[in-house]
Amino acid sequence: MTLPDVATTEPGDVLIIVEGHFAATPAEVFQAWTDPAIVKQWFGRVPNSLHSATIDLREGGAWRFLESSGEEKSVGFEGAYLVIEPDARLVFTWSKVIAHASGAREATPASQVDVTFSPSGDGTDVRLVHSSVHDEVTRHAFGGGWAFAFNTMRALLSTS
Amino acid sequence: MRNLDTTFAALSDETRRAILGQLMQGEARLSDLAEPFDMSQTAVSKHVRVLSNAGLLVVEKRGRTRHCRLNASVMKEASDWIADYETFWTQQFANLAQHFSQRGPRPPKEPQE
Repeated sequence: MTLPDVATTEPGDVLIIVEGHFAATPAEVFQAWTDPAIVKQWFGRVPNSLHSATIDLREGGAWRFLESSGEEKSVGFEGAYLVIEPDARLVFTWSKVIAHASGAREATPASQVDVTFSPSGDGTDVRLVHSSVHDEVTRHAFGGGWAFAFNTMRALLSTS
Repeated sequence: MRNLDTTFAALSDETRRAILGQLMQGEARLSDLAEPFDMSQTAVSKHVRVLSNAGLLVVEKRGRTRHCRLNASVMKEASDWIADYETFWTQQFANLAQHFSQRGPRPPKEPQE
């Protein structure tokens, strides 16, 4: 299985960094991100709110977390795993997708999420970096727009 | 979401971002916008049209001059996307922390190597 192109391209603009410390071993935290039954317990607007979670945990494998799925449409997030280092790191692509019963799909351009798990004290530090992706397609669509959006727009809006 | 794609596509060019940067200081005449750039008025006008089509700026004709100003609401939509995800991931981390705190006492720590 070949990986999506994004795996081999340069990293994009970092949009968001979130860091946290968790009272669990790296193996436990890694499992919480990669075992669908556990993902459903915590991921989503509130715990236990996900409609479904499917995970094909191998590099190139797809994942999909649905927030809701009805007769007319399903809403959720999906992507593919690019890097899997058990208990240490997960990198995956990320899109928000609304799939209509008619077959129409609205999807945000793929971004990339890089989560690292490192032991710290008696727990685990988790660092999540959500970036735009600079493959040929999204480079065309996004270019440096993300960084601009992140830095400059916020400055603009906070002063207006 | 389609609108947002147009916004980011328009923002993908360095010159267009610089034009918006200029307009952050306030409204400007189209003819003045070309000044900092080593390019023709026509080239700048093309960039302005892309930005205008994406709704990022508004061009207004007053008399014989065209004035450009930012359209903050469209830019806000883009920056909201980022702010939303910041909130989103912070919320996920809080959920996960809660998940681990609710599972009861942890088994004894394994000896470190």
